[in-house]
Amino acid sequence: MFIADYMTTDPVTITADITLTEARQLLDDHHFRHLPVVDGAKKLIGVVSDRDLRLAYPSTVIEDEERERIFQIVERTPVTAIMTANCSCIGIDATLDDALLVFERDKVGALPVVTDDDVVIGIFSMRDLTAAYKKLFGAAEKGSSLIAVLDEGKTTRSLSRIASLLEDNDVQCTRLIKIAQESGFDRIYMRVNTYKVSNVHKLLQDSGFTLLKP
Amino acid sequence: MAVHRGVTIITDSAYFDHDTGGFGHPENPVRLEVIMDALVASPILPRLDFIAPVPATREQLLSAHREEWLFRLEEVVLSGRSHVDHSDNQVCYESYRVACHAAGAGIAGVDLLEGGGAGQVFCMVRPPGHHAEATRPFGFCFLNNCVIAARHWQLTYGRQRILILDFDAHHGNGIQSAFEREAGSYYISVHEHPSFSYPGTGYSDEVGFDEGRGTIVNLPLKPGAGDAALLDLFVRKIEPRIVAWKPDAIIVAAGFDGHRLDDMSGLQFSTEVYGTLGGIIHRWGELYTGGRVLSVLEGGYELSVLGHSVEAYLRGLLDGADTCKATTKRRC
Ligand SMILES: [Zn+2]
Repeated sequence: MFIADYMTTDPVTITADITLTEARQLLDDHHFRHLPVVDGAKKLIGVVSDRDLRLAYPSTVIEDEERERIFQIVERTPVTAIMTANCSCIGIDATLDDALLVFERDKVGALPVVTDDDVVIGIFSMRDLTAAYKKLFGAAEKGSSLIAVLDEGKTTRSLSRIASLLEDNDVQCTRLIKIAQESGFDRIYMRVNTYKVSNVHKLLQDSGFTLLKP
Repeated sequence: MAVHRGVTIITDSAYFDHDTGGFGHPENPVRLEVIMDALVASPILPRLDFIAPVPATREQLLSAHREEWLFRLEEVVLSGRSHVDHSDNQVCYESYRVACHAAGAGIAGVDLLEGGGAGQVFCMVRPPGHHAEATRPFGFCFLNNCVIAARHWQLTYGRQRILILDFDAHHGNGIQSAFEREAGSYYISVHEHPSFSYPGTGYSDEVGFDEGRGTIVNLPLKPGAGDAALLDLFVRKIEPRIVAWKPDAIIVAAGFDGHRLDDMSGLQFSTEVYGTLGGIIHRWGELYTGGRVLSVLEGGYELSVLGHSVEAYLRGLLDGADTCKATTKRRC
């Protein structure tokens, strides 16, 4: 649940004097999309993305001569000219939920991860977030499938009832989540690890739960 | 090459010796009994030959599995334990030997097809194989019969471009993981959508990696999908891939658990649709792979319909052959 478990540690960082050409080369070589810009003490001063870099280069529709001229200027430009200063970042003790909210608020693709005194120690991307949630909820986990039921209140203690139903019948369950709906009955989702999914359907129906089917 | 108008069934009494802990387990020996009963009662019986295979050699098993897994499987069964890794994967003392026999069927089938000893081959085996991975079992499968046959075709006969076509109701994760990083071997699977079904893999965006990118095609069907949806995929999605890839041979992972009465999946196929699939697959073999098609039994657990479904599939293979002969007066 902490981003520290899913972030890239020791990310490649650059200093303010790096030129756009050098920055672009780094991104190409390592196939990533964001470079934190740091000072001599490794403290965060900005971030530059592959998109920022692409936009800085002259468009291919410009006349050759003009293009060449802009190209030469760009070559000598330091990243500080195009980086996002005061960029979004996130603390090392942040949770996945914290990160989700920052991504939603700031519409960025990656967040430098910093210590209390702003030293960059990691980078956490949107892809890391989806990978983390995928693991948390077990999506595409080999051997598993998802079952959803409505909790119509026919039975009390519905979660413990389902848990023991599965345990009593030797069905491995790896996730059990109950989610309240704004209207209608609560929903209970479970990820089970069994070949005999229909058996589980039957057990649940016999216990008074209504299956949610597509 | 001799013209064969029948189907050679490769099977062995050894397959009854894999005891999955009584008949409460869906993958039990009665599956083969009901298939045999349906074939014996069928008008196609005179056109079926029955042949027993020899077990796959260790070297052949190693073309698809890692040695550590072979040792572990053998050790588990000989030590008398009841299952491997998950209680679904029930075993008995004989299971390793039987699984080697099942893997041998595909190899024998390839040899027959290549040597001119058979026109069409159906391997009537258990335990099934398509979930088995290089180092671990899944879903009643221990050794991947289809992948072992594919490797034999590639290594012994130089038929590099092998397509495995899987119409079992479940995704064949073991076949996919064997093929997903290499160019020139292909896997197409039609199965119930992985969010609702075992083994939870086979999403349409799983297409292979690196060299193998684009060699894997997953075609999930929603629970409740029936014959029309299945046949639509065969015509619109699968045949164009075969035309484009030009495989040297097709191995069919033939599972019959998508039947509407088989509660191992929510799919709603009829018995007859398996006949239609047989006809289509025969035709593809003739049109695209020089007749090189090998079918291997995977799942199918509802005993009241499994035999008829397999019989319908074999009838489809035979009718396909008759139709081809009638329309062109030669092997089409
Ligand atoms: Zn199956």
